[in-house]
Amino acid sequence: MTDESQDVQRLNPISKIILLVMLSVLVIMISDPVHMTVFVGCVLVAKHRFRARGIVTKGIFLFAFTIFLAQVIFNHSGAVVAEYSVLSITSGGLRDGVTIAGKFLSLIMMSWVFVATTTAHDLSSALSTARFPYRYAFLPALAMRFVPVFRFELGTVREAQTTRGMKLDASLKGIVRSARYTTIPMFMTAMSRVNSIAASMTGRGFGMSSTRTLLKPIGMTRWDIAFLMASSALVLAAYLVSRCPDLRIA
Amino acid sequence: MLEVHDLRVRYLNRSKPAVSGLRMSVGLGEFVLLMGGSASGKSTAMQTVCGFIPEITPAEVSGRVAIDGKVYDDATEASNVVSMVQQDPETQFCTETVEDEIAFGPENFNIPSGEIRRTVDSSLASVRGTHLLERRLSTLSGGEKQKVAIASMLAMKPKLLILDEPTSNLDPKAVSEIVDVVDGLRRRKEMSIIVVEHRPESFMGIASRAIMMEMGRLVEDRRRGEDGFMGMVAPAVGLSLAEVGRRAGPSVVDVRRLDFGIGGAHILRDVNLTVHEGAVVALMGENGSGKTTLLKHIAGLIPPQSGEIEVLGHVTRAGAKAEPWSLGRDVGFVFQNPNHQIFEKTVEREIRFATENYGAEPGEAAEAVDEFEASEGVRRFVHPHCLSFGQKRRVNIRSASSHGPRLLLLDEPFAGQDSRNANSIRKVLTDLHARGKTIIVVTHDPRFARSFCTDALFLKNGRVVMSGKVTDVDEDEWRTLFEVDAV
Repeated sequence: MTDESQDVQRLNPISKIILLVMLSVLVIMISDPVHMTVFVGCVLVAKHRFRARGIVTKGIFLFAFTIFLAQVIFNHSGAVVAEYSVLSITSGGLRDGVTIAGKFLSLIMMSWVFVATTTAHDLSSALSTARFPYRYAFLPALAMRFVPVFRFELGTVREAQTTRGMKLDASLKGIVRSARYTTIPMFMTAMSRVNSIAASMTGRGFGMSSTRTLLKPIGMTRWDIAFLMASSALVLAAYLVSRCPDLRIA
Repeated sequence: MLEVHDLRVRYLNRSKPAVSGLRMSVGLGEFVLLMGGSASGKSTAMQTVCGFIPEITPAEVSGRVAIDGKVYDDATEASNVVSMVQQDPETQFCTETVEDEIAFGPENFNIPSGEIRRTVDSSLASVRGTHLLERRLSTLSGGEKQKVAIASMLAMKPKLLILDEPTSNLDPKAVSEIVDVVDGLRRRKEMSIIVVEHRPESFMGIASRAIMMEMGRLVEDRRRGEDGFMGMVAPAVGLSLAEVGRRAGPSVVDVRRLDFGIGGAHILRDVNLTVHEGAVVALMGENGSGKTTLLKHIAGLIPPQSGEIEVLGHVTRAGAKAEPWSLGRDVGFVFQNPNHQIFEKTVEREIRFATENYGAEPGEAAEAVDEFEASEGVRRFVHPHCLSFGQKRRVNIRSASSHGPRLLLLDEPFAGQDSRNANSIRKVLTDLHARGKTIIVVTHDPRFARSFCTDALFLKNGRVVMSGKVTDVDEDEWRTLFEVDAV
C-alpha cells in the first residue's frame, strides 16, 4: 500500500463522506464537456492510485459508453458536426453524451474510491464517535461482514445446482430457473444466520445501553479539519472555474 | 449457580415440546458435559438459559431459570452472567477482525477503552491465541475461529460459559487444542462451564459431571467417580464394509501432478492419487489442508492449473474449462451444508431433481424415494426444509446419488450428526456401495476411516502424506498423522 493511500485511510470516514458529497454536487453541476473530461480523468487517476475496483467494472464502463452513444445518436440539439447516411451527429449530442456519461462514471468511481479507502468498521466507529445512534452506526459493519459470506454461499449453491445437472445458461429462461432454485437455499441460509447473529449480539449486551464505548474511537483530528477546509476551497474553486464563461466551449 | 426448575419449551410450529419438565442445577466451578442425541433438547435448554428463547426464537416457555438466585427477564440482561459459544463460530462473528470481535462485548458494556484493551489481551491469552490478535477472521482455520469465539465470550467475564458442540467441525488436532483450552478454563474455577456435545468422548476425561438428555428430559446425571460415569458414552457402533464385501476394480479416478493455488497461496501441491472402482476412500487432513478443493477438482468444478485429472474416462488437463455439468452425470457431490443443496418443495422432487435434469432412467430415483419413506417414516410430499438436520443430510445423499452416478463424493457428511444419525448415514453409504458405487468421503473421524473405509488419503498443507489401504496403517501412524496422543 502506498503512503498516499495510507494517509487517506487514516482520515476520518466522515471527512471522506463530506468530500464525497461536495464532489458529487460539483459533478452534477458541471455542464462543460472539457471540464467533465478533466474531472473524469482526475477520478480515474484516484481510482488507479487507490486500487479501487468495483464488482462489475467492465459493465459500468460499457454502460457509460452506451449512455454516450445514445446521446450522440438520438440527441439532435445544436449544430450538425457530421452526417453518415441517416445518422447525424450534433454538437449538443456530443456535449450531453460526454457530460451525462461523465457524471455517471464519476459518481460511481468516487464511491469506489471511498469504499476502497474506508473499512466498514471504521465508518461505524466514526459514526458512533460522532454520537450517531450506535444501533444504526453498526449496520454498515454488519452488512459488510456478510458480503463475502453470502458470496461464498451463493457460489456453493450454484456448484450444487451444476453437479446435479442444472445448466446455468444466460438466457432469460435460464436466469429465471436459476433464480427460482437459488432463492430457497439462500433464504434458508440467511434466516439461520439472522438468528445466530442476533443471539451472538444480544448475548453480548448489544442494545443494553443507549451508548457504547469503543476500543478504538475515531474522532475528528486537526488533520481532518485541515483536509476538509482545503477540499472545500478546491471544490469551490472548481465550481467557479466551471462557471467561468471564458473557459467554456461554445 | 444455575438452577433450572420444571423447564418446558415448545416451539410455536411444533406440537411436541422440545424440552419437557427439565430440572437441573450446576454449582460454581463445575464442568458439566450435557449429552444426548439430536433433538434431545440440550441446545434448546441452553438457549433458554441464555434467554435467546423466546426472545430471538419464539417459543412457549414455562418453568424457572435462575442464575445465582436471580431470574433474568431478557437475553441482554442475562448477558451479564451467562455467555454461549454457538456451534458454528463463523455464524456468530459480527466484525471482521479478531481484535474487534473480542472487544465487541465489553464495548456494549460501556467499559473504558484501556480496560477493553486489557480484557481483549487476557481473553486471547486464556485460549492461547495471543498471536491471532491482528488477524482477520476470514483468514483463521476452524480451530482458531473456535478459540476466538470462546475468547469473545470470555471477554464478557461470565459466571456461566456454555459451549454448544465446540468440536463438531474440527479435525482431531484442533479438537485436542480446544479440549486443552477448556481444561485450562476449568482448572481456574472462575466460572461454571457446560459443554453441549452429542459426541462427548473428547471431554469425558476432564468433565466433573455428565448429564444425559433424551426427548427433552434429563435421564441420567452422574458425577466423576460415581459408578457408570465413563459408561455414559456409548462406544460408536458402525457398520463395516466387511459386511458387504470389499471389491477392487479398474481405476475410477486418476489425479496426476495436480497443483492449485489462489493469490500466491498453494492449496494443492503435486497431488497424485488413484481410486479404484468399488473403493470407499476416507479423505482426511487438518482444516484447510485442501480436501474440499481436491474433491471439487475431481467433480470438475475447478479445472487444474497444472497436472491432469481423469475421472471415469473424462480427462481434464491444465487450462481446460471446468465441465461439472457433463461430469455430474457420473459423479455425485454432497456438499457440507445441507441447506445449500435443497432446491425443491417436496422430498420426492428433491430426490428426482438430478434425474430429471439429466433425463436419466427414473428407476433408481423412484427406489430412493421409496426407501427414504420407509426408513425415515417421512411422507414424500413433505418439504425437505421441514426435516431434521440428519434427515436433510440423508436426502442430500440420496439426491446426489439417485441419477445413476458411479462415483459419489461427500464433503464431511458426519459434521454435526449424532451417533444415531451417523449410523443411518453409514447404512445409506453401505447400500450405495453394495450397488457398485465408488465413494470418496471427507472425514475428520479416524475411527470411521478405520472401521468403514477401504482406503485412506491424508493431506497436509496440500500435499498427500499418506495414501493406501486403511488396514496397512497402524495406530502409531494414525497418531503421527493427526499429531494427537490418541485417535
